Amino acid sequence: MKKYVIKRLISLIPLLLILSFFSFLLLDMAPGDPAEKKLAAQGVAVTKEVIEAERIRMGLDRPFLTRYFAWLFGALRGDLGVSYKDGFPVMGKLMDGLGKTCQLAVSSLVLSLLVSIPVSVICAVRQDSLFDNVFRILSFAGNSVPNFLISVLLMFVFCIRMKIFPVIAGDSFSGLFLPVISLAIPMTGRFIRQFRAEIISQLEQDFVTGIRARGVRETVVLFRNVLYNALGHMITIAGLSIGTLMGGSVVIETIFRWSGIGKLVMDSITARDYPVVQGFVLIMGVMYLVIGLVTDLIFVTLDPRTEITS
Amino acid sequence: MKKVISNKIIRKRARRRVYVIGALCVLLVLIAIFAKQLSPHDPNVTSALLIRRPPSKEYPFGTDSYGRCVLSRVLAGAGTTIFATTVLVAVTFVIGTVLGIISGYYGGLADTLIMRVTELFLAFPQMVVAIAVAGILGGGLKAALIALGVTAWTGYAKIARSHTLSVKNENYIAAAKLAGLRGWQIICFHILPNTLFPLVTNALTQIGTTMIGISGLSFLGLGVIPPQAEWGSMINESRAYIQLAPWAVLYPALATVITIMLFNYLGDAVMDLRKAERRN
Repeated sequence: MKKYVIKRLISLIPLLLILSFFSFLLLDMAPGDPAEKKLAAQGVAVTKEVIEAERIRMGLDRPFLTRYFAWLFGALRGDLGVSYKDGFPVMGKLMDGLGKTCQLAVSSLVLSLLVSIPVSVICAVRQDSLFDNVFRILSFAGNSVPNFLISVLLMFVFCIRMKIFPVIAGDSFSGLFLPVISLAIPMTGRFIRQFRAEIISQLEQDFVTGIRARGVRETVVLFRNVLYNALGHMITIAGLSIGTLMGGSVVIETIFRWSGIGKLVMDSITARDYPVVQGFVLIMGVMYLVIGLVTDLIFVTLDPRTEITS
Repeated sequence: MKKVISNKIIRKRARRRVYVIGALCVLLVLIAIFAKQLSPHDPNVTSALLIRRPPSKEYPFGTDSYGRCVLSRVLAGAGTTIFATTVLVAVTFVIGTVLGIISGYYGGLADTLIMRVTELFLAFPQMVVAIAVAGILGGGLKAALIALGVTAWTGYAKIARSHTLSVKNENYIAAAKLAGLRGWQIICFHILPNTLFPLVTNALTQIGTTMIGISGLSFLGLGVIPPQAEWGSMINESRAYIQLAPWAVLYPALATVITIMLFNYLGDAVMDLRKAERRN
């Protein structure tokens, strides 16, 4: 186990390097001159001399790789540069939004799991029953509706027609409700489909027939053997969905004016404040990698056989 | 007791389902192709006299806040969405499949290199990368497609590689090698025909997700540039006055949901058919 953890941690290093390189490259991909864009974002009248002075101040006269390593070492110390717009550190801006985004993401993930685990277990055990068929259709539908559409429709029904919830999500509990539901519906649909398939494939294994033949009660088989075996895959599925959740929160936060990291990045894109976008990609990428690693480790802990094969 | 149904009947049902859903999808594509001929008005003509009119005989889906016919714009948007999705799925499918097959067939250094790169791109959260890349490239449909394509090919590469590995050691490949065929010939004439069906099936299941991605970017204003009609951007434009003209949101929303469901259902149906055929 220890060896496996070390191996995985080492394999993270090239991934992090490439991620940081890609994030850095993003800024260079933007059309136009960075110095000019920075000055334009601050509303400074641009002349050739001003741009030239700014280029030197930003270090743009240095070669690409030198700039990359300077930026990388900064990033390792938690310094992601400053915003073009107001000169505040990017890291601080992102950290301010991260908490609110986590609130949203964790709530919707928990809600999805709370709904989808019992539903998928019942669906798998009572295959082709009415319950199974109803939830199969519902989960298919949930999986097919983009989250921006769900949130616009929910907003129309609950905020404008019925006036139950505020249109702009404040910090209150009622403000959290609609954004969480909008994120949770597609995710729950996906979870039910995938969990159900996983539990069914476990139920069809030979060892389950064997345990049943020895007269073990069905509930014990279900919880001690089948669900335990499915758990690793279910955690992996949930871990992978974090990536979708990160993208989805950008959309949802923009719609509900939820001042998390997603709204920040959309506002920064509109304002052409690219260092913030760059920092966003880096932080989300690192979080995604770490979550992936953690889910992998849980998987191996639950099922030690995978450690040997991988 | 479970009813026992013979494999033959399961196969027949699965096939019939694919035909029905496939026909509906083809119909949708035809509508998208002939959108110009089908739409009652020019989707981009504005009129100050016809702002936010409710659905009527002349304007079956009503008009938006620029006085444009919503039906015509929904039809034009079908073209945009389906064309963009087809291009994206096709290009990423070809790139991913070629890389995956090369990786699986040749093995060794090529395999290690290609798979390392694939895993790198697989390690990034797709929508985060797409939003950032599209945002920085400055919007436009082309930028949105590039942004989504950066990570979309990885899934195809992984699946193509695993299917190649599973047929690589078959006797007919060994026979082809003995017959003196070159690597690319074996890939084109033996590996590709024997792996294409599962690979295309997988690509079909990705159409719905891809549409969600494209319309999501357009909704954020990172996809098509207005006034070009696209469902996601139409919904975004008209949600500001949803209480005045709900039809301007509801019809593109309905079109989005129906289209994505239909293509997702097609993917499911083809997948089921494959399972039924394999059981034989």
